[in-house]
Amino acid sequence: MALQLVAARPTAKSRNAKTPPIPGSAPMHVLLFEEGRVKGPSLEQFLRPCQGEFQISHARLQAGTHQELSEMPSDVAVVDMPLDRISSLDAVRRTRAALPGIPLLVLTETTDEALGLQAMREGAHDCFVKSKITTSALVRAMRRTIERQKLQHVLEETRQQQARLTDEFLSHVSHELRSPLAAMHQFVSLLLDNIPGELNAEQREFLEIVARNTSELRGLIDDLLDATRAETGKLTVERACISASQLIHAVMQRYSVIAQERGLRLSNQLPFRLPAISADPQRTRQILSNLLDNACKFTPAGGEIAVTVAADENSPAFLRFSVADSGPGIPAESLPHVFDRLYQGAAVAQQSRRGLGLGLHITRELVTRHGGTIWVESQFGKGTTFHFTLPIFSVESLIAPLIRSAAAAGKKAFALITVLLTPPNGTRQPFSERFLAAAGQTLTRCTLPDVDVLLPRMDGPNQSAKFLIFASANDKGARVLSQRVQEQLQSMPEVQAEQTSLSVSTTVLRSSDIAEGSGPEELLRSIATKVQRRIEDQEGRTQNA
Amino acid sequence: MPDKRKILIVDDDKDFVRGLAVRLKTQGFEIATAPDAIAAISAARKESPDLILLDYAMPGGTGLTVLERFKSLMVISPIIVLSASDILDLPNQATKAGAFAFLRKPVDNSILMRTIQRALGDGAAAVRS
Repeated sequence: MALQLVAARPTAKSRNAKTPPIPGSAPMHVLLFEEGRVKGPSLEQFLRPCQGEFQISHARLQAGTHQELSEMPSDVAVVDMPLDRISSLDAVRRTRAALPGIPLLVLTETTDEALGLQAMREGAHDCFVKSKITTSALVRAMRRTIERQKLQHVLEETRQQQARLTDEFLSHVSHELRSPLAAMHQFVSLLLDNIPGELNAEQREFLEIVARNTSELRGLIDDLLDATRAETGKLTVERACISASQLIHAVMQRYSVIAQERGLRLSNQLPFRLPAISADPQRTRQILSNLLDNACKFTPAGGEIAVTVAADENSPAFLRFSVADSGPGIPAESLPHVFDRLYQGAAVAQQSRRGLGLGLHITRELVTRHGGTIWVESQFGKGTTFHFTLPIFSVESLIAPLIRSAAAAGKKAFALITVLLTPPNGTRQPFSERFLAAAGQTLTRCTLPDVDVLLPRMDGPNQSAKFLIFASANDKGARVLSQRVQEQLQSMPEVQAEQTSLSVSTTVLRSSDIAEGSGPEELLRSIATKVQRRIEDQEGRTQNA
Repeated sequence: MPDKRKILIVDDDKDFVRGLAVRLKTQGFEIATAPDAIAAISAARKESPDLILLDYAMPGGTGLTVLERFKSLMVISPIIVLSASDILDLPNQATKAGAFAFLRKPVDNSILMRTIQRALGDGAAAVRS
C-alpha cells in the first residue's frame, strides 16, 4: 500500500501547559504530513498536553494515494515543512491538490516571513513558526481554522442554493410572463391577418402598435433571463460550423426594413470568400442583432450603418465583425462602462423608454463565451463602431489532439470518411433537427473516443447534410469503419422510411504522401490543410449549385 | 368531401388554445383539444389525430411524461412540443423523448405552420391527397 499510516510516536516532554478541551466535542482528526527532513519539535510534541482532543494520523503523499487520502477521516491537515524551500512549497501544493476541501496549516522552523506567505498562496490557511508558537495558541488556531472552513463551506452551499433558487424562480416567472404574451400574440396576429374580418386602416395601425409592443416585451423578458443566466454561469453556447456570410445576410435582411423605416442607410462589406466560423448560430444572430438594434436606435435619420467583416490581424484564428454607425457617438468618459450590466448612457437616459440596460452586457457575455472579444471605438459627435471577434472554424484545432497522439504512437495513415445524407428526390424539404441529431448520435456510436473525431455537421448541396469523420486508421481500418457507418445509418428507421439517399466515401491520407519524415506538428498542419481544402471545395460546389 | 387532417392541441391555457384553434382552422385543419394530461391521452386514442401540439407544463403531468405515455400507448402521430418555459435542456429532452420538434412560446405563426407541414411529411397543408 502506497499510503503509510504510522501510529503517533511517543513524544518528548511537552512544551506548554495543557489547553482545556472543549466539553462534549469529539476528537479532531489531524492528518500530518512530514516529508523530508524536518527540524524542531514535532506536532505530536505540541499536542501532547491535549491528548484525547486530537487524533493524529501520519500520511504520505505519493502517486495514487489521493483517493485513499480523501477517504480518511480528517478535520485538518498539517504540513510540517521540510527545510528545503522548494520541496517545502511543493509539499504544500501537493497536499492542497490531494485534499481540496480541508483546512491546511503549515508548521515551519524558519522565521522566513516570505515563505509563510508563499505557503498561503499555495493554499495553506495559516503558517506557524515552531519557535514562536505555544501549544495553546496552536490549538486555538487549529480550532478556529476548522470552524472558519466549516462556515466557508456553509456559505458556499448557501450561495449555490441561492443561485439554484434564482434560476428556478426566473424559469417560473418567464413561463408566467410569456404565456399571456403568447395568447396576445396569437390574437393580434389573427386580427392582423383579417381572419375575423377586414380591418380598416386605423384599426390596423393600432393593432400593429400592439404587436410591436408585444414583441418588445418579449425581447425584454429574454434579456432579463439571459442576463441572470450570465450571472449564474448558465449562459451556454452550442457551437457548430456556420457560414458567416449567410448569417450576416439573414440578419441584415431583417434590419434593412427597420433601417429604411427610420431613414437610415444600411450597407455591408464582406470579403468575397469568408471562412466558416465555429459559433452558436442563434447566439451569433443575437450578438449581431443587438449591435444593429443599438445602431438603428441611436443614429438619427439620414445616417449610415455599415457592417464589415475582416480577418483579425491580432489573432489569426478569429474573424472580426464590425458594426459602424454615424450616430452621435459615446462620450469618452462613458466608453469604459458601455458593457457594464445595467449601464445606460446619457443619451438613453433622455429617452422615454430606456430599456433594461442589458443588451450590450449580454452581447459581451455571448462573445466571451465563444472565446472572442468585443470592444468599442467612438468619437463623440462622429459615430461609434463596435468590433467583436468569433473563432474561425478550424479543422486543425479539432483534429490536433488525435494526430499528436497517433503520430506519437507511430501511426502513418489517417482516414477521412465523408457521409452525405440527401432528402428523397423531389421533396427538397430540409431534414428535421431530430433526424439530424439521431444521425449524429448513430455516427458517434460508430466512432471510437480518442481515436476518431466526428466534425460538426455541415450543410451540403440541395438541403443535404454532411458529416465528416476523421479517424486514426489505415486502409483496412477505414474500410471497416465506413462499412459500419453505412450499415448503422441504413438501419435507422428514418433513413429507410424517407428513402434518404446515403453516400459514404473514404479517403486515406498517408503521412508519406504529405511530407517526407515530417514531425507531428507538420503532419498535423498538412493534414488539416488537406481536410480543410476538401471541405471548402465541397462548399464551393454547394454555392455554385 | 375532402378528408381534413386533424390536429390535437393539448394545453391548459384556454386563451392560447382558442387563438391557435382559430388559426389552424383557417388553414383547413380539423381541431380537437385537451386541457390536461389525462384528457390528452384519451383524446389521442379517440380522435386519432394526424398531429399533436403538446404544451410542456400542464396539470396532471409534464409534457415529457405525456410523451412517454403516448409512446407506450403506441400513439404514432408526430408530436410538436410547445412551451413558454425557459428550461435550457428542454428542446433536447423533448426530441429525445420522441417529439418531432420543440417550439418556444410565443411562436411565430409562419414557423409553426412550416413545422406542422414538415411533421405531416408534405408541403400540401391540411387536406390529404
